[in-house]
Amino acid sequence: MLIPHSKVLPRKMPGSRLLPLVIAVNVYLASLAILGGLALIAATGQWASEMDQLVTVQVPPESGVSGDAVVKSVLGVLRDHPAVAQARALELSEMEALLAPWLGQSAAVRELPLPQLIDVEMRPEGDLDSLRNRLEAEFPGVELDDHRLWRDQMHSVATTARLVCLSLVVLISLAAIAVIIFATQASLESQNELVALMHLIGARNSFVAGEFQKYFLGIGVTGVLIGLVPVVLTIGLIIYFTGNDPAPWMGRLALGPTDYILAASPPLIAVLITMFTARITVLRTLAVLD
Amino acid sequence: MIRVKNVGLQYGDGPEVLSNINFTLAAGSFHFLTGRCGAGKSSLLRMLYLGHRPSRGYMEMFGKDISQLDAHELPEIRRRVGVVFQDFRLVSHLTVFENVALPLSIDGRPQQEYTRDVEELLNWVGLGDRLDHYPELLSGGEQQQVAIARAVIASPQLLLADEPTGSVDSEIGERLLGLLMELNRQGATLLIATHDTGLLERHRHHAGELHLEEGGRLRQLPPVRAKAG
Repeated sequence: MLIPHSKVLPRKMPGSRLLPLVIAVNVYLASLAILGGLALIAATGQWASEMDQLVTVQVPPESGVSGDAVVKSVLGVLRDHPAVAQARALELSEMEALLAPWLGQSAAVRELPLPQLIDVEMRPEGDLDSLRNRLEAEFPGVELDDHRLWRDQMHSVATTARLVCLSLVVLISLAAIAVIIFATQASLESQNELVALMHLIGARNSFVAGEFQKYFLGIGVTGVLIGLVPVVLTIGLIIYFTGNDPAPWMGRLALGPTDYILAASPPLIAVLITMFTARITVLRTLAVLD
Repeated sequence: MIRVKNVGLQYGDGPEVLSNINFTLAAGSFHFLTGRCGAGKSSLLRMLYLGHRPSRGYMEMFGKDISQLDAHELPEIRRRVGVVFQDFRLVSHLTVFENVALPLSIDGRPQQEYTRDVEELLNWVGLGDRLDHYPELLSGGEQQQVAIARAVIASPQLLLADEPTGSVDSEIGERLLGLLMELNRQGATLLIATHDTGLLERHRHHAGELHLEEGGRLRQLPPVRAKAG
């Protein structure tokens, strides 16, 4: 086996028998939290980039009979402006569809003094302020909505969700550390005669700590392997039930190398936490012997 | 090799169990450590294998002032001391081979480097056919032999034995003592704690004596010269 095992400690020690299961659960929960966080980041990133490119121009209804002419003029200004990639006035049916959730499908909607909406797609790095200034100067009453309120709210929600995911991972890690400290102390307690003997015949503290580290490395790897099974099953189930398009709630799930490293981090972190928590606990305990 | 001057030893805030101890153990010498039960023999041995450092006074081992050593320097000194504990302290989940190899294993030596030495030593003490046995399957005398083998496998310069013949009959006791004396002849300094007066009488012509008296004081006596004719 690739994992080194201790030559002096017993194969099983009291206090650590259920530790692989605890680590497995922690790995599963941490992986879910990170996967959820990645999905949120992907979704909000996609929404934000789309919203950053889209603005809406409203031509108010009091423009009167000459309203169509104003809309044409606004469209002309928009299409000539260097910051604009394209601009399109919404059809009446499209505006009715937008209002349907609030006003229903009534024909009376057509009688309402609705503003004319123009969808504008900005060029990347397009100067929005210059466009706004131009419209305000030439068409008083015409408004440019850059969806800043929605965008800010979405950023706020995404940031909160990310912090929640991060907090979950930190809490799960802290819980794992606490359990491992307890298990290491219990294992040390069960082997205090052996530890004292090794100490008296000249073992360095680092050697004793290294032996416990090897033991807990084996436990950590076992726990990680057990924990990875439900992680893989969960991902498989999500993909299975969402068919070929898991995108609706996960954005495009376009994961990059950093995302894969993040997604793979709980098992690695679990193994490292297990090893080093055990090592530090043993070193702290042995330090008082001299 | 070992120089102890005005040393006192106490555990925690308790009274001194050893007071104003003075003695010298020359390299390659052989001494018995005697005294009544509770006189402090085990405490003195414990101090010499650095299980507990002196509370006061001066103790020099292998040319080093023990009180001046940092904790990380002590393992190196301990590895130069072999100890046969009164209660053997064999590790129940390790085989006879692994128990004897423990001092080499903790020194970080690879197993292939010491396998032959351990097997030869166990053959020498008469346990060559018990390499894979666990301590619980051995008799008291055999366990004591394993403990002695473990104490000497790393060729220590100082060999300490706490009542090494206390739990075996006299025949096996003499055989175990013979093992320790053979190691002494090969150069190891030997200190054996015992209250076996018969053993002491038989060997005091070539062994010195450290005698612990009431109150934790110690007298050092030279070997008794054999009477002529």
